[in-house]
Amino acid sequence: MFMFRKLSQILCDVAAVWRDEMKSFVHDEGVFLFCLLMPAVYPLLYAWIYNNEMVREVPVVVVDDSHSALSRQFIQMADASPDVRITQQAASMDEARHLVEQQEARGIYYLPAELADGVYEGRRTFIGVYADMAMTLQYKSIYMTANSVVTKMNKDIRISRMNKLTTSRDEDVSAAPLNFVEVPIFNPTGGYAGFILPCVLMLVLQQTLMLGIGLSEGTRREKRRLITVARTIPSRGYGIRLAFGKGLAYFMVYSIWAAYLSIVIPRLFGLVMIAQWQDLLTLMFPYLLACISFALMLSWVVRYRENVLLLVVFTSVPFLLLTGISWPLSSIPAFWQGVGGLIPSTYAVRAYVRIATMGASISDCRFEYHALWIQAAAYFVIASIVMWRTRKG
Amino acid sequence: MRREMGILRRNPIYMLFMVVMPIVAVLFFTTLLSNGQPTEMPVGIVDQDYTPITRRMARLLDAFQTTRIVGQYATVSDARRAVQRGEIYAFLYVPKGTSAKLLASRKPTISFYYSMTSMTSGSLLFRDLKTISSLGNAGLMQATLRMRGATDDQIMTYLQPITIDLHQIANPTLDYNAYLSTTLVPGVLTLFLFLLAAYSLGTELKFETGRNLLLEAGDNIWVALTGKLLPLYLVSLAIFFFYEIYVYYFLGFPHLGGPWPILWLGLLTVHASLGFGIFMFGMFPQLRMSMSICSLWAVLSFSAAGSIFPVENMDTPLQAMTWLFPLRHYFMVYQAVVFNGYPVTGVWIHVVMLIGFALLPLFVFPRIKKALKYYVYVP
Repeated sequence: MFMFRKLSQILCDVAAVWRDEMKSFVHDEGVFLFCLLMPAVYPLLYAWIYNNEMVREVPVVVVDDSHSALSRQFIQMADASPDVRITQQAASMDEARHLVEQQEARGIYYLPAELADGVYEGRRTFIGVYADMAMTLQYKSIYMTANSVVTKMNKDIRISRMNKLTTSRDEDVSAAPLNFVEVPIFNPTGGYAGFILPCVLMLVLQQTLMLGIGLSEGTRREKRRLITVARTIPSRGYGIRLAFGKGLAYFMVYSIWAAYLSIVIPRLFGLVMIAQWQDLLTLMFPYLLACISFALMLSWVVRYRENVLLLVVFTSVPFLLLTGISWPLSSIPAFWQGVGGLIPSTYAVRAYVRIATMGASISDCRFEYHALWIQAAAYFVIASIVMWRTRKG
Repeated sequence: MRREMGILRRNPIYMLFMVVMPIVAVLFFTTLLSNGQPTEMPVGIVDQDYTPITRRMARLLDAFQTTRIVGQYATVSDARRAVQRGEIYAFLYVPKGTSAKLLASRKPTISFYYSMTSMTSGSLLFRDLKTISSLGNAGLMQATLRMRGATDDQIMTYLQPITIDLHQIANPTLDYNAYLSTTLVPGVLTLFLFLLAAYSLGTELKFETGRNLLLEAGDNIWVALTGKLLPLYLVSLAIFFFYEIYVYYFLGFPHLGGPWPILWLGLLTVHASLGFGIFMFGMFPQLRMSMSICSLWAVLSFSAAGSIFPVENMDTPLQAMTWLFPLRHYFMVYQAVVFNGYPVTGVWIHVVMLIGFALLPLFVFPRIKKALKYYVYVP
């Protein structure tokens, strides 16, 4: 009987903390902004920014000193490619360089005077490609287009030089004896959104949770008064009940956001989404727990509620890099890999990308899955201790 | 001013975010990306043919700087599962009978599967694959031609009548560090400036010390704000210059523009971000609101700067919106003037915008004065 009363008392305390925290979603405009508005709006904004996916029609200027059928063929083929747009023909390299300096083009194709002569006389000739390196995606478009056009032209030239006693099959085989097929798998369009958005979506969950929980904890600390109900909680078990009650409130709200971010947004913007719902659910559950505990734990550094903004906002980009998606994991120094290992988003992003865009099952992500559970448990214990200590003010 | 120094000393937050965190950020990005280019990325091979010819192909793939073969898989689905587990980024599939078909000139097909979920690795692997496929073909043709008695020069002329002479202006090694750190680090630095400007003004309101501040400045808002923000300004400027000296002269990032543009661009950026922070505070004279807006803005800056995904490829309304972000203008000026060493005429409009951001606070001085005088903090 005593056990039962104690248990019900604990549950009452937890529920009271929970109710108080739920109220703050509406009453505290900071929490409202970061926990209700941002998770809804930010993903839409990012999805819109990267909606076009590909870097197309990069402006390039041509210097045609050759004035031959061959050079015109090159210009036409480059212009017809999706990635590059020939904006102008410049009379000289100086003029072309000037156009690049004025930001009117991002690169130069230089077709030298001896281009056609060289090809017909059987000498090796070249086409100059000058690329502005400020943006690698544009550089890639400029270079890859030139490369594929030249490869195609070379093949035609080779075939035209063969004696005419061959069949077209012979020509084909000797021009390229081996057939290479490139198959981009998982995100087959190679789009930018398909690659960056899954990371951003997972990160939004964690960052807004850190902001929201940090703000609400900051307020609690600042007012130097415990939440009305929390005052009646005895010192023993105070931390756990407070952490549990608060965590529960965020967990409820964020269950909706997790579903919205991990399923609705990708569907809405046509990202690759081949996950089984069971796998997503199994992943998101420990992730949310880990994030909430992580945020509760970190909130001890917040003396004033506004400080949390300074602390959390700038971490978004470093956390994004640490996930090892935009920058390959194998190239991240071991020290930073270790730091990344402490952060829930690192594992969640890796697992989510594999499950959602690569169709892996949760058993393929066993390591990440276990890591999230360990984080959730460890951070919860630390958070409880931290919150227990703050009771004394 | 003296008062402000006292505040700065007392509240560790300032020390932390004016000096320590920016330096940590500089070191974080530059060391994280210190490889410059991803190397030795794990790839796999599914070799069902297993002849000397196919083994040579595998060795060729392994020899590339960017790739390292870590696993042999029996079937394509095994290899696919390895990709899904995150063990490899790509794999080469050589079906049974490839060598036999090759010798019989029946044009066999081999395939290269690469995952585009990670764009950096995906595109680098794709580039290597292109090289392998042309080398592979060239190697075979070379052998045939040599048997017919052609010289090496003739062979190359035959194989590649036209070659590409590539000039990677300003960043010939395609160093990703020089390319990412130069926007991400200033992005973080301007983020701190935004927030600290709003924070230091906002706390005056929060602790209702704004009146004292005005009193000490003789009711002159100019004196008050200058005194208030001068320490922050000077320290941030020092940090920004530290960052620039560190990356351009210590790490040797490309800076064809030389020292002068580096200097004035740093000066402009610090002014513009500080100006933006003060302006936002003037618009929303309340600690919480101005800081929230500044942080939302700053986080979006990284995408709006267009250093990774170009602004030209975004939707038109978004293109217009990027003009509202100081980091965007920093990037445009940086890439033209510092990175490439072009004359400033090509990007003058962005310089004007940066100056404009620096002057923005002038419009809100009266509002700030009013706020400092009459505002009562509501928690």
